[in-house]
Amino acid sequence: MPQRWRLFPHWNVAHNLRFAAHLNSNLRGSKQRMRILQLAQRLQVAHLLKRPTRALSGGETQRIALIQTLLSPAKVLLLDEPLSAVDAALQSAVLELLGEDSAEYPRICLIAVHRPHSGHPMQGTLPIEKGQLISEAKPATNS
Amino acid sequence: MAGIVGTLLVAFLIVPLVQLCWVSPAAIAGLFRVPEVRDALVLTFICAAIAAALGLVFSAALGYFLARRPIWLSRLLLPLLDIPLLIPHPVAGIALLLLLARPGALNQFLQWLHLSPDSGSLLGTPVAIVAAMLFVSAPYQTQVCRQAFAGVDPAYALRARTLGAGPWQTLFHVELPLVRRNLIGGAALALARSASEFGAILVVAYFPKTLPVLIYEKFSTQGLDAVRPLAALMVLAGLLLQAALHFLQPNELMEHA
Repeated sequence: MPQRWRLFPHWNVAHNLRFAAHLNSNLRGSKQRMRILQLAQRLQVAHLLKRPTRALSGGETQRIALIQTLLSPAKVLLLDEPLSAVDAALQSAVLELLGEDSAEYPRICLIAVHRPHSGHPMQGTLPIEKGQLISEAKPATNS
Repeated sequence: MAGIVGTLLVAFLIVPLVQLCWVSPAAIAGLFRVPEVRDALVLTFICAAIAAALGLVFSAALGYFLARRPIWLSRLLLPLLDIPLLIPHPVAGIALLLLLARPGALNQFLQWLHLSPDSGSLLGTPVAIVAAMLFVSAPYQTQVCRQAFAGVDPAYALRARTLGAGPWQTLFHVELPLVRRNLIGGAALALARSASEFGAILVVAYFPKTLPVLIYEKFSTQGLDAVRPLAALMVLAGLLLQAALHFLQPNELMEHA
């Protein structure tokens, strides 16, 4: 998920999420609807499902793009600053969700951040400086 | 000063058309009761719609291809594709003769498919009319389609691919819907251009008569007064299409991107 997140502008929020879920063969029918609603409620965007994407704030767009990414069948998630536009009050909800997702689904999640903090649900960090890996992966202290 | 000069141009472009259309509505309505006019009207707009639809499919494919390739390819190819617009339209018709006449390439292809007309030539058939219309409208449509696809931020397609969509899913669910207004606008432009084509059609199919050919024939045999309601009908049809075009443009989605 790029830092400059984009939702598809020709669809409303629900259609954007359904598109990603539809690509995931593990999510079909009522399971798909339940998962969309569950994720939307977790990140407090359930009330936005019928809105056109142009009516969303930056933080809302970022949370919905994150849900879209989590609904997709991707085996590897690359998240570039997934909290950059999210309100401080919601950041822990996003991090909690990422932690639960990585525990529930067998996929790799790489999160790029400038300032890592203990709240990130990481199993390890790869410190990079000037584009170079500066040391081996360190196990996270909180995992 | 610029306003005054501009007003003069507007007057020059609008006044003759208003003058032409200054006929009683009853005279225009009466045209629909004349079988010859009705046939020409139906033939013109059916052929123009087929040309616009064919143009839409092929121009969208070409426009998409060019928008995804380096710009030098478009700079090289598009001026060549514009040649049908730059030559006199009867010349375009003469060029099409080579394709549509008895030993022409299209005829040979149709013969191979056992679809060749009884006369052995496509001249004077609706196929020839559609070919002439397509020849003079597809270059516009290709330009519109290329610009539309080039205007879509590639991040949308990339996003769809990263979510797991295949190239066809991305094309049909994301890229085409994002430019649909432009494509429909291009098709409406092609429809208008096709319906008004005269020079090329005159060469490849004098019969069956399209509206522009019928107008020309009536004007040369019966004079100005006889042709005015028919000409006014054509102007009104153009006006309707222009209103449709205005409704379809610009593409707000592009602005959102």
